[in-house]
Amino acid sequence: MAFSVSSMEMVPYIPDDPVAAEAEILAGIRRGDDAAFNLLVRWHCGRMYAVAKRILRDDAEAQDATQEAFTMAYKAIARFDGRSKLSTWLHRITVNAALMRLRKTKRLREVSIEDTQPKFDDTGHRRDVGPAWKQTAQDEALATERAGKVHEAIAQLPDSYREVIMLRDIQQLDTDQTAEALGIKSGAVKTRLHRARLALRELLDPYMAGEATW
Amino acid sequence: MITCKECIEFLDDYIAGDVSPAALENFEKHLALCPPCRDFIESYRKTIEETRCACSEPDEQVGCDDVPPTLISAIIESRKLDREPDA
Ligand SMILES: [Zn+2]
Repeated sequence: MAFSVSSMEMVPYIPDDPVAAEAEILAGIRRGDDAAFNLLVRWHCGRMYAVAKRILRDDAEAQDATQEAFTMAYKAIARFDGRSKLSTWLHRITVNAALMRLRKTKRLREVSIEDTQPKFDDTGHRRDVGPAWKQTAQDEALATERAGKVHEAIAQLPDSYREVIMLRDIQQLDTDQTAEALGIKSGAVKTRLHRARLALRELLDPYMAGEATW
Repeated sequence: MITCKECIEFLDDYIAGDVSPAALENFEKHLALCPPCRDFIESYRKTIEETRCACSEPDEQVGCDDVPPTLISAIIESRKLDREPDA
Protein backbone atom coordinates (compact mmCIF):
# COMPACT_ATOMS: atom_id res chain seq x y z
CA MET A 1 0.00 0.00 0.00
CA ALA A 2 1.38 3.43 -0.88
CA PHE A 3 0.58 6.56 1.06
CA SER A 4 -0.15 9.68 -0.92
CA VAL A 5 2.45 12.39 -1.34
CA SER A 6 0.30 14.73 0.74
CA SER A 7 1.11 12.59 3.78
CA MET A 8 4.38 14.48 3.94
CA GLU A 9 2.63 17.72 4.81
CA MET A 10 3.15 18.82 8.39
CA VAL A 11 -0.52 19.25 9.19
CA PRO A 12 -2.64 17.14 11.54
CA TYR A 13 -4.17 14.05 9.96
CA ILE A 14 -7.63 12.80 10.88
CA PRO A 15 -8.49 9.51 9.17
CA ASP A 16 -12.03 8.81 8.01
CA ASP A 17 -11.74 5.21 9.10
CA PRO A 18 -9.54 5.11 12.22
CA VAL A 19 -9.58 1.31 12.52
CA ALA A 20 -8.37 0.73 8.97
CA ALA A 21 -5.90 3.62 9.23
CA GLU A 22 -4.43 2.18 12.42
CA ALA A 23 -3.89 -1.24 10.85
CA GLU A 24 -2.31 0.26 7.73
CA ILE A 25 -0.05 2.59 9.69
CA LEU A 26 1.15 -0.19 12.01
CA ALA A 27 1.90 -2.48 9.10
CA GLY A 28 3.68 0.37 7.31
CA ILE A 29 5.86 1.27 10.29
CA ARG A 30 6.79 -2.36 10.81
CA ARG A 31 8.13 -2.63 7.31
CA GLY A 32 10.04 0.63 7.74
CA ASP A 33 7.81 2.90 5.68
CA ASP A 34 8.57 6.52 6.65
CA ALA A 35 5.28 7.79 5.29
CA ALA A 36 3.43 5.54 7.74
CA PHE A 37 5.38 6.96 10.67
CA ASN A 38 4.67 10.49 9.42
CA LEU A 39 0.96 9.77 9.41
CA LEU A 40 1.15 8.35 12.93
CA VAL A 41 2.83 11.55 14.11
CA ARG A 42 0.36 13.82 12.34
CA TRP A 43 -2.56 11.83 13.70
CA HIS A 44 -1.57 11.48 17.36
CA CYS A 45 0.86 14.31 17.98
CA GLY A 46 -1.82 16.83 18.98
CA ARG A 47 -3.34 14.72 21.74
CA MET A 48 0.03 13.62 23.00
CA TYR A 49 1.28 17.20 23.07
CA ALA A 50 -1.88 18.30 24.92
CA VAL A 51 -1.28 15.61 27.57
CA ALA A 52 2.40 16.53 27.93
CA LYS A 53 1.46 20.20 28.26
CA ARG A 54 -1.08 19.40 30.95
CA ILE A 55 1.63 17.65 32.97
CA LEU A 56 4.61 19.92 32.26
CA ARG A 57 2.85 23.29 31.80
CA ASP A 58 5.60 24.52 29.58
CA ASP A 59 5.43 24.49 25.79
CA ALA A 60 9.09 23.73 25.15
CA GLU A 61 9.25 20.96 27.77
CA ALA A 62 6.02 19.48 26.43
CA GLN A 63 7.40 19.46 22.90
CA ASP A 64 10.51 17.63 24.07
CA ALA A 65 8.42 15.11 26.01
CA THR A 66 6.20 14.49 22.97
CA GLN A 67 9.26 13.90 20.84
CA GLU A 68 10.69 11.50 23.42
CA ALA A 69 7.37 9.67 23.55
CA PHE A 70 7.41 9.14 19.79
CA THR A 71 10.98 7.86 19.96
CA MET A 72 9.99 5.38 22.66
CA ALA A 73 6.86 4.39 20.79
CA TYR A 74 8.81 3.79 17.60
CA LYS A 75 11.28 1.55 19.39
CA ALA A 76 8.53 -0.39 21.15
CA ILE A 77 6.03 -0.65 18.33
CA ALA A 78 7.00 -4.22 17.51
CA ARG A 79 5.78 -5.15 20.99
CA PHE A 80 2.46 -3.33 20.60
CA ASP A 81 0.03 -6.24 20.56
CA GLY A 82 -3.17 -4.44 19.63
CA ARG A 83 -4.98 -5.45 22.79
CA SER A 84 -5.45 -1.81 23.70
CA LYS A 85 -6.17 0.97 21.24
CA LEU A 86 -3.07 2.49 19.73
CA SER A 87 -4.11 5.88 21.13
CA THR A 88 -4.35 4.41 24.64
CA TRP A 89 -0.93 2.83 24.32
CA LEU A 90 0.53 6.12 23.08
CA HIS A 91 -1.18 7.97 25.92
CA ARG A 92 0.55 5.75 28.45
CA ILE A 93 3.94 6.31 26.84
CA THR A 94 3.34 10.07 26.74
CA VAL A 95 2.30 10.31 30.40
CA ASN A 96 5.41 8.37 31.34
CA ALA A 97 7.72 10.53 29.23
CA ALA A 98 6.16 13.71 30.63
CA LEU A 99 6.35 12.50 34.24
CA MET A 100 9.99 11.53 33.82
CA ARG A 101 10.70 14.98 32.43
CA LEU A 102 8.78 16.55 35.32
CA ARG A 103 10.90 14.54 37.73
CA LYS A 104 14.01 16.02 36.14
CA THR A 105 12.90 19.64 35.79
CA LYS A 106 11.45 19.81 39.30
CA ARG A 107 14.32 17.77 40.71
CA LEU A 108 11.88 15.40 42.38
CA ARG A 109 13.39 12.48 44.19
CA GLU A 110 12.08 8.95 43.93
CA VAL A 111 10.45 8.06 47.23
CA SER A 112 11.02 4.87 49.14
CA ILE A 113 7.78 2.89 49.16
CA GLU A 114 8.60 1.64 52.64
CA ASP A 115 8.87 5.20 54.01
CA THR A 116 5.52 6.24 52.58
CA GLN A 117 3.43 3.42 54.06
CA PRO A 118 1.26 4.14 57.12
CA LYS A 119 2.94 3.35 60.44
CA PHE A 120 1.23 1.50 63.28
CA ASP A 121 1.98 0.99 66.96
CA ASP A 122 1.96 -2.39 68.72
CA THR A 123 -1.78 -2.27 69.26
CA GLY A 124 -2.42 -1.74 65.53
CA HIS A 125 -3.34 1.94 65.79
CA ARG A 126 -2.00 4.35 63.22
CA ARG A 127 0.84 6.48 64.54
CA ASP A 128 0.56 9.44 62.24
CA VAL A 129 -3.12 10.36 62.27
CA GLY A 130 -3.47 13.87 60.84
CA PRO A 131 -6.45 16.02 59.90
CA ALA A 132 -9.02 14.69 57.43
CA TRP A 133 -8.79 15.76 53.80
CA LYS A 134 -10.85 18.79 52.91
CA GLN A 135 -13.59 18.65 50.33
CA THR A 136 -12.00 19.36 46.99
CA ALA A 137 -13.35 22.40 45.20
CA GLN A 138 -14.79 22.25 41.69
CA ASP A 139 -12.94 25.51 41.04
CA GLU A 140 -10.98 25.17 37.78
CA ALA A 141 -7.85 26.87 39.11
CA LEU A 142 -7.74 24.64 42.18
CA ALA A 143 -8.37 21.53 40.10
CA THR A 144 -5.34 22.45 37.98
CA GLU A 145 -3.24 23.02 41.08
CA ARG A 146 -4.38 19.70 42.54
CA ALA A 147 -3.60 17.86 39.30
CA GLY A 148 -0.11 19.37 39.48
CA LYS A 149 0.39 17.92 42.97
CA VAL A 150 -0.84 14.54 41.74
CA HIS A 151 1.55 14.57 38.77
CA GLU A 152 4.48 15.35 41.06
CA ALA A 153 3.45 12.57 43.43
CA ILE A 154 3.18 9.96 40.64
CA ALA A 155 6.52 11.12 39.23
CA GLN A 156 8.11 10.31 42.59
CA LEU A 157 7.01 6.67 42.60
CA PRO A 158 9.55 3.97 41.75
CA ASP A 159 9.04 2.73 38.16
CA SER A 160 7.52 -0.63 39.04
CA TYR A 161 4.86 1.08 41.18
CA ARG A 162 4.15 3.86 38.69
CA GLU A 163 3.59 1.24 35.98
CA VAL A 164 0.92 -0.48 38.02
CA ILE A 165 -0.82 2.81 38.84
CA MET A 166 -0.80 3.68 35.13
CA LEU A 167 -2.41 0.44 34.06
CA ARG A 168 -4.82 -0.15 36.94
CA ASP A 169 -5.96 3.28 38.14
CA ILE A 170 -5.39 5.44 35.08
CA GLN A 171 -6.13 3.09 32.19
CA GLN A 172 -8.39 0.95 34.34
CA LEU A 173 -7.26 -2.47 33.20
CA ASP A 174 -8.19 -5.25 35.61
CA THR A 175 -5.68 -7.09 37.78
CA ASP A 176 -5.17 -10.00 35.38
CA GLN A 177 -4.75 -7.79 32.31
CA THR A 178 -2.21 -5.71 34.20
CA ALA A 179 -0.35 -8.83 35.35
CA GLU A 180 -0.17 -10.05 31.76
CA ALA A 181 0.96 -6.68 30.39
CA LEU A 182 3.76 -6.43 32.95
CA GLY A 183 4.68 -10.10 33.02
CA ILE A 184 4.17 -10.40 36.78
CA LYS A 185 1.79 -12.38 38.97
CA SER A 186 -1.68 -11.04 39.84
CA GLY A 187 -0.77 -11.10 43.52
CA ALA A 188 2.17 -8.80 42.83
CA VAL A 189 -0.08 -6.40 40.93
CA LYS A 190 -2.47 -6.23 43.88
CA THR A 191 0.27 -5.66 46.43
CA ARG A 192 2.05 -3.03 44.34
CA LEU A 193 -1.17 -1.21 43.54
CA HIS A 194 -2.20 -0.94 47.18
CA ARG A 195 1.26 0.17 48.28
CA ALA A 196 1.50 2.68 45.43
CA ARG A 197 -1.89 4.17 46.34
CA LEU A 198 -0.86 4.40 49.99
CA ALA A 199 2.35 6.15 48.91
CA LEU A 200 0.45 8.62 46.73
CA ARG A 201 -2.01 9.25 49.56
CA GLU A 202 0.88 9.99 51.90
CA LEU A 203 2.57 12.31 49.39
CA LEU A 204 -0.67 14.22 48.78
CA ASP A 205 -1.64 14.36 52.45
CA PRO A 206 0.00 17.70 53.40
CA TYR A 207 -1.69 19.43 50.47
CA MET A 208 -5.08 17.73 50.68
CA ALA A 209 -5.37 18.12 54.43
CA GLY A 210 -4.77 21.82 53.90
CA GLU A 211 -1.51 22.18 55.71
CA ALA A 212 0.33 22.74 52.52
CA THR A 213 3.71 24.31 52.81
CA TRP A 214 4.65 23.32 49.26
CA MET B 1 -12.70 -6.67 66.28
CA ILE B 2 -10.06 -5.93 63.65
CA THR B 3 -7.36 -3.33 64.23
CA CYS B 4 -6.72 -0.16 62.18
CA LYS B 5 -3.68 -1.92 60.72
CA GLU B 6 -5.79 -4.83 59.46
CA CYS B 7 -8.41 -2.40 58.23
CA ILE B 8 -5.89 -0.46 56.13
CA GLU B 9 -4.09 -3.60 54.95
CA PHE B 10 -7.24 -4.83 53.24
CA LEU B 11 -8.61 -1.48 52.16
CA ASP B 12 -8.18 -2.24 48.47
CA ASP B 13 -10.20 -5.44 48.75
CA TYR B 14 -12.85 -3.63 50.74
CA ILE B 15 -13.11 -0.83 48.18
CA ALA B 16 -13.25 -3.34 45.33
CA GLY B 17 -16.03 -5.25 47.15
CA ASP B 18 -13.69 -8.22 47.12
CA VAL B 19 -14.24 -9.50 50.68
CA SER B 20 -16.32 -12.21 52.32
CA PRO B 21 -19.55 -11.18 54.08
CA ALA B 22 -17.94 -11.93 57.44
CA ALA B 23 -14.91 -9.79 56.67
CA LEU B 24 -17.16 -7.02 55.41
CA GLU B 25 -19.09 -7.08 58.68
CA ASN B 26 -15.84 -6.81 60.68
CA PHE B 27 -14.77 -3.98 58.50
CA GLU B 28 -17.93 -1.99 58.94
CA LYS B 29 -17.97 -2.58 62.67
CA HIS B 30 -14.49 -1.16 62.87
CA LEU B 31 -15.35 1.83 60.71
CA ALA B 32 -18.43 2.62 62.77
CA LEU B 33 -16.20 3.01 65.82
CA CYS B 34 -13.09 4.52 64.24
CA PRO B 35 -13.26 8.03 62.74
CA PRO B 36 -9.54 8.04 61.74
CA CYS B 37 -10.07 4.95 59.58
CA ARG B 38 -13.18 6.51 58.03
CA ASP B 39 -11.12 9.57 57.11
CA PHE B 40 -8.35 7.35 55.85
CA ILE B 41 -10.67 5.42 53.54
CA GLU B 42 -12.08 8.65 52.22
CA SER B 43 -8.58 9.94 51.43
CA TYR B 44 -7.65 6.60 49.82
CA ARG B 45 -10.69 6.79 47.54
CA LYS B 46 -9.92 10.40 46.75
CA THR B 47 -6.34 9.47 45.85
CA ILE B 48 -7.60 6.96 43.28
CA GLU B 49 -10.04 9.48 41.83
CA GLU B 50 -7.54 12.34 41.64
CA THR B 51 -4.93 10.09 40.03
CA ARG B 52 -7.38 9.05 37.35
CA CYS B 53 -8.49 12.64 36.69
CA ALA B 54 -4.98 14.07 36.55
CA CYS B 55 -3.77 11.61 33.90
CA SER B 56 -6.91 10.73 31.97
CA GLU B 57 -6.84 10.26 28.23
CA PRO B 58 -8.18 13.31 26.38
CA ASP B 59 -11.12 13.08 23.98
CA GLU B 60 -10.39 12.00 20.43
CA GLN B 61 -10.20 15.46 18.89
CA VAL B 62 -8.27 17.24 21.63
CA GLY B 63 -5.22 19.12 20.48
CA CYS B 64 -5.79 18.65 16.76
CA ASP B 65 -5.82 22.37 16.07
CA ASP B 66 -3.08 23.15 18.50
CA VAL B 67 0.00 21.34 17.24
CA PRO B 68 2.98 23.50 16.40
CA PRO B 69 3.91 22.46 12.82
CA THR B 70 7.56 22.66 13.87
CA LEU B 71 6.91 19.92 16.41
CA ILE B 72 5.60 17.54 13.77
CA SER B 73 8.58 18.18 11.51
CA ALA B 74 11.02 17.93 14.46
CA ILE B 75 9.67 14.49 15.38
CA ILE B 76 9.79 13.26 11.82
CA GLU B 77 13.31 14.63 11.33
CA SER B 78 14.60 13.14 14.59
CA ARG B 79 13.41 9.73 13.43
CA LYS B 80 15.44 10.04 10.27
CA LEU B 81 18.54 11.11 12.24
CA ASP B 82 18.06 8.23 14.65
CA ARG B 83 18.28 5.81 11.82
CA GLU B 84 21.15 7.39 9.93
CA PRO B 85 24.07 5.48 11.63
CA ASP B 86 22.92 2.04 10.51
CA ALA B 87 21.39 3.20 7.23
ZN1 LIG C 1 -9.28 2.26 62.76
